[in-house]
Amino acid sequence: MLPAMKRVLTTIACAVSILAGAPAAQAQQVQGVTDKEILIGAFGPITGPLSWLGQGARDGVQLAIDEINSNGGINGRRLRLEHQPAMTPAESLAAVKKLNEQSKVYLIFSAHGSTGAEAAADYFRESGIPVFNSVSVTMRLREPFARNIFNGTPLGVDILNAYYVRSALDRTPRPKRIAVLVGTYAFPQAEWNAAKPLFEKEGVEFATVQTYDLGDKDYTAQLVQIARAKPDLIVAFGQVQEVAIAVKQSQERGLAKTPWWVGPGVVTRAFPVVAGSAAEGVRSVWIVPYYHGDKGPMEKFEAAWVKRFGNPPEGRPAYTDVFGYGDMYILAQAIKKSGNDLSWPNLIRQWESLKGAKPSDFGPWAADVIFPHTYGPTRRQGNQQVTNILVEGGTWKVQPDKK
Amino acid sequence: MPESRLRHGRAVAAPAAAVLGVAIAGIALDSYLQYVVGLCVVAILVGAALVPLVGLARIVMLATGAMMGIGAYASSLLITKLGVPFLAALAVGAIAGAVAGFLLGLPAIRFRSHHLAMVTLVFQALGIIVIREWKTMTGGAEGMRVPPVVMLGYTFRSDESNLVLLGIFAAASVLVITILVRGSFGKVLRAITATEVGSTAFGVHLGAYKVAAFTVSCTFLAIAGAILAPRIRIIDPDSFGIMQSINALAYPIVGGMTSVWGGLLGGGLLRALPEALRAFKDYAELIYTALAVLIILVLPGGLVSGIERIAGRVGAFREASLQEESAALSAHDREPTVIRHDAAQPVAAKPSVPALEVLGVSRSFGSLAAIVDVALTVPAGSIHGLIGPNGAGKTTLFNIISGFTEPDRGEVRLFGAESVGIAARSRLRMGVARTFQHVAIYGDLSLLDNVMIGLGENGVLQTIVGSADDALRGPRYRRREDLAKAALDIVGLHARRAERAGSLALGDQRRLEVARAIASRPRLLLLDEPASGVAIEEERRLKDLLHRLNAEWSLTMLLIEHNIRFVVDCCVNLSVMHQGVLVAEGRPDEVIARTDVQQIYFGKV
Amino acid sequence: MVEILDLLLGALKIGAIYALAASGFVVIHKATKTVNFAHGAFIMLGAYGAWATLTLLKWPYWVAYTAVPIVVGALAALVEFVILRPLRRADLFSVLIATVFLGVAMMELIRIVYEVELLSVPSVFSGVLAELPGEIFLTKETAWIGAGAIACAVAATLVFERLTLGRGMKAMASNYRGAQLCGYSVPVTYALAWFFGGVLAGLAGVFAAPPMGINPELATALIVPAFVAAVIGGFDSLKGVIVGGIILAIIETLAAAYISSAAKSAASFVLVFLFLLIRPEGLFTEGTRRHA
Repeated sequence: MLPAMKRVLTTIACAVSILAGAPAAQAQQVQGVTDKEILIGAFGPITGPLSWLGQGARDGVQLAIDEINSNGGINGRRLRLEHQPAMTPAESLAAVKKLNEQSKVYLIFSAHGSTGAEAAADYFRESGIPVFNSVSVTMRLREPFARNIFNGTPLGVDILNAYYVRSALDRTPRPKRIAVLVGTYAFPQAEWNAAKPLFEKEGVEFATVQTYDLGDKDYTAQLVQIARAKPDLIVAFGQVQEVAIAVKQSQERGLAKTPWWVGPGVVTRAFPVVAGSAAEGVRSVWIVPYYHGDKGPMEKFEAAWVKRFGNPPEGRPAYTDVFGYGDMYILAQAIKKSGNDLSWPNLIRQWESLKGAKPSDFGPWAADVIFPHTYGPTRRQGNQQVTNILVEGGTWKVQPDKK
Repeated sequence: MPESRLRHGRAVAAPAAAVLGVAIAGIALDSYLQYVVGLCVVAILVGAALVPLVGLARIVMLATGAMMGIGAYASSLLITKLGVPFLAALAVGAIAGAVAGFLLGLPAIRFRSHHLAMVTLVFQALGIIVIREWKTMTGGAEGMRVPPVVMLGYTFRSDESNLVLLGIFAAASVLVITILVRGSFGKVLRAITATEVGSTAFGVHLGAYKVAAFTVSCTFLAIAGAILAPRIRIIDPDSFGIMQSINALAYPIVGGMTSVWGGLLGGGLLRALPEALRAFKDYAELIYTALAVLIILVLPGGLVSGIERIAGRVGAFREASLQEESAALSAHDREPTVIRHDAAQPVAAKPSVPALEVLGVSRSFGSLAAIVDVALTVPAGSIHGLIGPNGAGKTTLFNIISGFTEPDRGEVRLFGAESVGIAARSRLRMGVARTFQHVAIYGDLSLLDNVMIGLGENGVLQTIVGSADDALRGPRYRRREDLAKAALDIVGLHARRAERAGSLALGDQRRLEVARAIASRPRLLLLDEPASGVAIEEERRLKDLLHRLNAEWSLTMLLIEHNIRFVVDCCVNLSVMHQGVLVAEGRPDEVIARTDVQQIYFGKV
Repeated sequence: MVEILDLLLGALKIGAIYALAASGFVVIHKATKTVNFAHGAFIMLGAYGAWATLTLLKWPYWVAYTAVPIVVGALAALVEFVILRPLRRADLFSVLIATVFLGVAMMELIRIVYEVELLSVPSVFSGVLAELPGEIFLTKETAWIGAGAIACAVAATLVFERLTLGRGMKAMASNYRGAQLCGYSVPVTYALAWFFGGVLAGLAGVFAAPPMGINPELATALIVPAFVAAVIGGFDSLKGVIVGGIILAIIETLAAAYISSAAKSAASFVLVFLFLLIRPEGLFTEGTRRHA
């Protein structure tokens, strides 16, 4: 009886002592800030099916931080990143609590999409710690308005979906009947729920709505139904693992001539590789000015990435690497402008004053791989620009016109 | 014996107290750790809830996630959509879990092993699909927000208050689970896992217990889900998916399957592991599953058994008080001379009704005619032997009489009552008990527990309610304990009653079987090769025992034996079977002197 | 109806993969009475092996189809020998649970080694083989996988039935002491059975890689269909699981087409449940053993 009870308590004690390893940041009245260092927290999934997303955001932020540090830091202080892995809502809540209450970080980068970010949203509002959302499109971080939550490059699902609809319908002749292929899990459902009324407002008819599950490998049934419905356009929401296979299989089901529009979750390098020739002409939206491999700032960014992290695994750097990198530089400007008053209210004030901020504003070495950010007293959405992108010659190419 | 009652009561309450202790100890920690400890407390409840199903009934349960989801969604929906107060919603969630467990248990009766695992997987998958597709109610894949708990006007917002709340509910649940696992309910589950025929023969309805195990476990899984939901504030189908089921399966396996402590240890440790391994999050799931495989291979009893071994006290977590009692009493080892008459069972009222009548019974298995037109009468109070070479059909006949097989034709009457078609488990109520050729005792239980099960009264509801009585060592328990002790005394095993039955030598195991069979004062005792594999001394004692029982209790007996000497000494009448047919019957010495009988055994003379 | 033909063609490709996946699963069960819940993970290894051969080492396809199954088979035999050997005589419960966790462990290991969300390999043959009336295209890939995977499964049946090895395995499963007395060695037979099962898993993985893409989720995607096909076809019948895999794929596809995609995932589960209720021994029984 007693030994086992002791054992349970010992276990907890062990867990506590392991966890309590994080150094307590000395407060200069501001948590996470010392004379020498600013501690930046981040959380996101780095294992599981969304691992590429979380790892990308983390590595992008880390790359920016390393560049900033090697150029003298911010007002004489170095930056340090503490990343906590989190996948499910329960883990996300644990991660942000650990960051805020145990590690006492200065602010938190939310490098998580979907339900993870939502679970943390309430906590963010209640605790007041500054939060920079660099990945999620969820409205729970945007409504109701919260002074301490800033959204960087990813747009809210409301604005973003308006762009989706505009982009999808932007062809001649204008599509009148569209078929929809949407995943049953959280993220594509959110996209579809927001896009559906917008499509309806444009007077579009839904020829058929087909669903698929996360991890599905065979789309025969859905594609046959879609072919039968004879749509002018197929719109697909989800991530590349599933949609790429669906697009590829569509060739065999008599849909070779039907155009596709896919959600931006599909815009990765794996897509043209997996979907093969079927990928030609597939269109989507893109929320940074360049695609991977483009000349100019993107080239510079990728060279720096490889130098820092080595040979990239397939599919990296992904768009979350870009977001993390660019957004960190925007944040760095807000911190720099705060000078010696790094209290949260002042940080927020300085952040709000950023207009048209680019990474290179912080330092000329920074690659301008994101659109400029503008904030304001009631504006927490930094980036509001979206471009079209399509697959041409086996790779994604950004379309010059901006919509 | 009030002292042992107190000790036993403490043993029953200890796991629940530990849970509460963990929760309260967590208050001293910071907010993040309080959150983690809270999650661990829920996992501890899950681990404990799985002990009856995974640990005792040995069922591979893959629907844990869905069951927790049912509790979580049911209670949360009631709170958010209908404004039902938390306690009532929790109760409804628990009931939903019970119903779901019952529904899952029903088809489970027919399946075992991997097919049963598949059935639970079906439930898991379909459950999640339903939750996900029912978007209007549950919010679908995007999840549902759950408000914090509000009770008596107080809103549980802080990590501290939540931790205390979780601790209280989890402790209360663990208390109930402990009562069931340590009580007669848990013991019967263990008995079933040890031997199904050995349990059926003593009134246990196998199917009913399977359903009951599912119902009990799923009720508490649903409670775990319902108290978890307001803690994590957002629930989505993924939180209750197949990975949660697989992870939860590891709790009793790693912790130790057969005691509630195992569930507690496994749940707490494994839930804390990913948090403790945050630095190695990439490897966390790998370490987790590798650990589970390692424990299965190296330490099949889980961490609890490892701890037991280190502490050097086998069975330390169970029946500790009985062991100490037994040690005190072994100094007073008595020769079993007195056969008690305390039992209430009256002797058969009409001595003219034969104890057993077998009339024209035949049974074939495919083209093999095992028994052909056998007739046998055993008068009340007689000892009747049945011999014959292997393959003669004796065991088949035995199984027909004890209800484990049905005859193709013919009748069997027990004390005048028609018994063909009545389930084997009802034989005990009819006053018929048996032993088995391959000893069918409950190896993991003590001798006393083995015999107590032999007393009967093993219906599901009886044992569930009885477990509460057991926990307090109430009147029912003490009455049954006395009867069991008496039976053990008769066979001379009283002093060793706290020992584990599996540790006995074969001869003692056979004696234990006899004790178990006579505990309920049956009217007819069927013995299947009781002297097989025992030494000559044992044989003599067994024969004396049987004669005494027959004399003092007028206990009718039918025994199968190969040991001719034993049978001749023991029996009043002897029947010989050969190739499915009754060949000879009469007084033992006359029967074995017959040439045709000798020819059967030794060939032509 | 044209549409049904279209659906059936798609189902054929998937069904062939299911059949091959289930074959290895059943071989292991026939010989060792082990239900190998880690089988999907071995198939996943086969798929990753195909990627390694084709993309990393840039060797031709025929190497992938020969070398990868052998490597996976060897790995499976190794796993049996090192990890599962202590469980050889243990109760079914422990073995089952051990394979469940083993499968997840293997998935996580691969996830750590290859961090990418999705890998791909090109089809063995691309392009259209024939155009059928009604604008239905029979691609070369469908024909290759459909014919090839089923051919492999059938070959496995023949090998198992004809060779002494197969008989030895069946004998051992039936009564291992008796088989030992007849000169069959337990460790060798078990290792060979797992090797054989692993080879079939590796083959299934190489076939599945081009159409299904390569990621750890392939393991979970294929273990359930393998099990379901085994239930439908009969857990010990190699002929049966070929039929079982195809039936499953057809039911799944039709359910997805005419009900909903949720119905597709539900279909396989409902199907296995119905079979367990009505005909637990499957469509084809070998011997008189009943499973329930």
